Amino acid sequence: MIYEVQDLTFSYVGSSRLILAGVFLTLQEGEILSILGPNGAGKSTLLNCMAALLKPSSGKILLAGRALATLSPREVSRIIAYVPQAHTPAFDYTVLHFTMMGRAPNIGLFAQPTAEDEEAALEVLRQLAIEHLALRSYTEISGGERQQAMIARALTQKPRALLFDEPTAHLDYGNQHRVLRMIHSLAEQGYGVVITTHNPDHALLLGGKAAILSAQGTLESGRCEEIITEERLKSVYQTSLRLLYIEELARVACLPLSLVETL
Amino acid sequence: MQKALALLLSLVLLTTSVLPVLAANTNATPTASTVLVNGALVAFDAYNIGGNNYFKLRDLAFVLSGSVKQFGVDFDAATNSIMLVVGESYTPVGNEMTAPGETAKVAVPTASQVILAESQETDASVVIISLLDLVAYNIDGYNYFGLRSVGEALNFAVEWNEAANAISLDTSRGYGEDATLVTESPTSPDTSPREMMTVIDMLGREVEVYKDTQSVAFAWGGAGSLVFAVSGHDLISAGNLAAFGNFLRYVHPPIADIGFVGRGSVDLEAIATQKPDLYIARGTELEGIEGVTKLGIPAIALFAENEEDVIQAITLLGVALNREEQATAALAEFHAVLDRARALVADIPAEERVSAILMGSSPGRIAHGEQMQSKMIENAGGISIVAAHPELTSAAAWVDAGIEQIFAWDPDVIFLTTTASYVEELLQDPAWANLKAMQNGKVLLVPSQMDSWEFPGITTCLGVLWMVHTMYPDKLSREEFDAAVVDFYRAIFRTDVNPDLLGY
Amino acid sequence: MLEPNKASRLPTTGIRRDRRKFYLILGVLVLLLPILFIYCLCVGKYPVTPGESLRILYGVATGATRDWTPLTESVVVGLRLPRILASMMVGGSLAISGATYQGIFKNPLVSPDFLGVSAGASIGAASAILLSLSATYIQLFAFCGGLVAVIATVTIPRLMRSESHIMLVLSGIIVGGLMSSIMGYIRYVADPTSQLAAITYWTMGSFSYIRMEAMLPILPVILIPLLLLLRLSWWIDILSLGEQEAKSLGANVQGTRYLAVACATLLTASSVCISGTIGWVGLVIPHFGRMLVGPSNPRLLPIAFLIGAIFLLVVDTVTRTITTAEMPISILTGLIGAPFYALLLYRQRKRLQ
Repeated sequence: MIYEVQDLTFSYVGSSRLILAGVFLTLQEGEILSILGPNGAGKSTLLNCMAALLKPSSGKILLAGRALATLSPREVSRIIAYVPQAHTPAFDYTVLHFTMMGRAPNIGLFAQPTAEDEEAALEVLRQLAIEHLALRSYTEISGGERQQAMIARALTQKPRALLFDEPTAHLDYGNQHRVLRMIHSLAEQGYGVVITTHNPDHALLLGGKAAILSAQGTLESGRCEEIITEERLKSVYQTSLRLLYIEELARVACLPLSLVETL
Repeated sequence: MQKALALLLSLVLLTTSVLPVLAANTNATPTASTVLVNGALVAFDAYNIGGNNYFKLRDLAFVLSGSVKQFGVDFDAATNSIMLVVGESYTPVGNEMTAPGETAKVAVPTASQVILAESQETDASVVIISLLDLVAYNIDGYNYFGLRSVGEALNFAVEWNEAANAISLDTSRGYGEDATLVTESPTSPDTSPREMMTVIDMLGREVEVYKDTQSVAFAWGGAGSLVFAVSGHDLISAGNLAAFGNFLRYVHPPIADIGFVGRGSVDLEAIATQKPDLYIARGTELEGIEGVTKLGIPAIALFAENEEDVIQAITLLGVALNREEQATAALAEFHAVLDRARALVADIPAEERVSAILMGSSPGRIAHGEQMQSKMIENAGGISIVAAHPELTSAAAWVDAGIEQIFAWDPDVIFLTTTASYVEELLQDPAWANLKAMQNGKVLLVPSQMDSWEFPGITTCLGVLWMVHTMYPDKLSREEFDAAVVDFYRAIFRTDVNPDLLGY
Repeated sequence: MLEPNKASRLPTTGIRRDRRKFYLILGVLVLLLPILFIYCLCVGKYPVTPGESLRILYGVATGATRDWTPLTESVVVGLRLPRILASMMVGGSLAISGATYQGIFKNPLVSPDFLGVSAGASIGAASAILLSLSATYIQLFAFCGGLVAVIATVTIPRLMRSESHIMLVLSGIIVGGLMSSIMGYIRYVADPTSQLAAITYWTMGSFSYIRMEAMLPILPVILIPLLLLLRLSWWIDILSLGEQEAKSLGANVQGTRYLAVACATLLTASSVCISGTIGWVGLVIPHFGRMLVGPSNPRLLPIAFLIGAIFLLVVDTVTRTITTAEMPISILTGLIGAPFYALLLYRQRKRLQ
């Protein structure tokens, strides 16, 4: 068991609004958890609490059996890797250097990466088949490649679980699916994966577990097929959609209705 | 935040646009006359209404507190009136002596009751003497009372001095006692013409100045010594004494109480309040001169960058201040000292000449060849090393030759100006110890404790003589020099100075 | 385990080439510095041949018999040597501290001054000059003034319980503005014939009078933070990603940031109290360094130090040899730095868009 989140509540200082109102969830090795919910519901907040970037107002998070609150950032970074949305950084580090930063959990404050660390990073780049980007500037590569570099850095941490904050945002259609494929394979390799997403169809593609965070801060989680129902989705997203089993694709897909009102 | 700012801004705009409208309906103008209280200049927020001057009671109480005619200001709740308590010292409340007004105001007559009272010695209770009949106006929320009426009630002298355009309060006399003038102050500033004459100042301007200038003001620190040399302390009514102030205060302590018209550049409001007969400016202060002239105060410009300037300035001041005899005498003494210096060194053979430089506010910064201080070295028979380097020059004064250059020259004598704050370090720095001047003990501060001898002024001639004494001690002994100093100060400043105090 | 094929060998060769390039640049700079050091020791207005200068230096170090005048030795060892050492130290320190601030605050447009060190140091020095204190006190006051200003800048956001960067920048502006006003007041009350000139001169920065005895006490205050920053350099990279990412990688964000800022501040304060305020070095040199070796701090910091040291050494030597009168060094660094900065920004314009 990687994660045990028990009765988590969160509200910002000075605000009475409960963003998270008693959330329960778990994550195992090799499991995928997709967190869905409307804008502003608190998906990123939940992820940040799980990544120890925010302190919850109450509740417990157990990471690998230990209370998250008692772990130092370094200890946390050895167990989980947080993958934020790719953004434009202030400095144009090379992809290799960027990836090597994933070795930070193992490098002392006054130390610097060794040849070993470099080789480890390079190995990850090879695994993801992006080693040709090693000496390219992080700022010069495409959005999709940047996301891959982010994943490479996360994997370099040798975590047990990865937390993705909207991994498919800002990516083109093809890259979105490439990233989803990568995430799926990570779970198959034994990593625990949590992603937040706006797109219910992506959750269906990934399979595994799903959770829906309501605007009131409550969470319902369970198997994908159980949680992702038309009813729930309609009430969460306030829009008409259909969940249909598509023969040709051999899967259930989430599709919006045509734009012209027929009913 | 933005809303509040916008509101504030519109409020400010509104107020400033309304004010001129109000001004058009006023009949109270800020008092143009100066006010002297027991001989000292005091700036009051007072107004002239219909030819009479009105003051705030608290201001008068504040100023007179401590004198024999002091009075306290209280409020008598029983009769709902202001109470002036004779003989009581005044306890300030914090809003006294605000700055004099600048613009004319609306004055509204008020019927404020004022009671005269005195405190009983026996039980410190207050006994009402009489109800005063004072004419009063309310201007901008404050009550102003006629000065004469207040003076009469509290029995201090109020007089009008026409020549100086000044109102004079005197607590040593009673109201109406020895009144030299009976008439009220005129409705407008004194316009009876005083005789004028034209002088040409050092900027070449033709300036009309009073033939009988009674008061001189200056914001330029360099003017003090020049004015003093010509007219002593008599005419200095306001000024920035700066470094020369140390000496002036030693010679004439009351000079510490003169008025203020600015430091370096003139404060136009201050000088408008002081209203001196003449303003002396530095030639570079063009805007200030223009501003002062617009106020109707004659302004003449002087330069004092070198010996010729000083002579010209003193001559000009002699004419402008109607002290030509004194100026001529001062210049005669000045030339006498310089001639003596030159004579002493005239026949020193070339190989015995001493080389010197004058270092300024930082090491490596020296007086350039054309600067007065370098000329002083030459006048004193020294070799001004920097004079041989015309490329080392600057538009103004001082040039950064660099320490290495000084080392390359290795002068016999290094003079330091009043400024050198690095001297201590320099004297102990082993790197400097190998310089000729250091080894011979010839790294010297030009005397400036009391009166700076390297600052352009009448005493720079003594600076030259001092340089002769330090560079060629066999030509002028310490005793001889001391005597020359004492003689000079006696002749110019009519004072006996102690050479030790001058710090050399 | 896949067989290493040609494709996967490529990055390794590229990496090796990249590393070789870095060491080449490093080597060139490391060699250039002592060469310039010796050259600058041999030039100056005082007549002494280069050969003689070197002999003097060698002779003083080894205690050989002197066949030169004491005055010449004073010039070489007492004037030129401290000046050269100071300009190198200050140039390098300002460059490293500038690079550090830029990394920590994720902003390449930041100079070591933005927390108010120079402004505070100027006030400290000006106050000491106003009080007619000796040069040692001027140095001490300058140092303390710089530290006080930075502490004030850093404390304001803490009082407001804000950890945001914007708050820090605004705080820097507030403290800087306050310092300017105080400085204006000090200039106003200073005696225009003497103190004012000294104050102005100090704030324009100059190496014209550096004494070894004055520099030695400051040396440890420069060396220790310098070494710490070189060791911390990789973590500055991590911090430059942003607080969240840095923390998720295991960084002690607050602690590391304070340590780096403290070291950079000490470097800047020490530099300023030796030579007065010198602008542009801390801003532009790191950019130049990035152009040569990339933005990664383990490479950038040493390179920036070397470039900064060389730059200021050369500029200072120019001010004392080529021009007849010595120019305050800030003027020259500005005249060179500003257009150079514009050029750098021009070359990076694509990226800035």
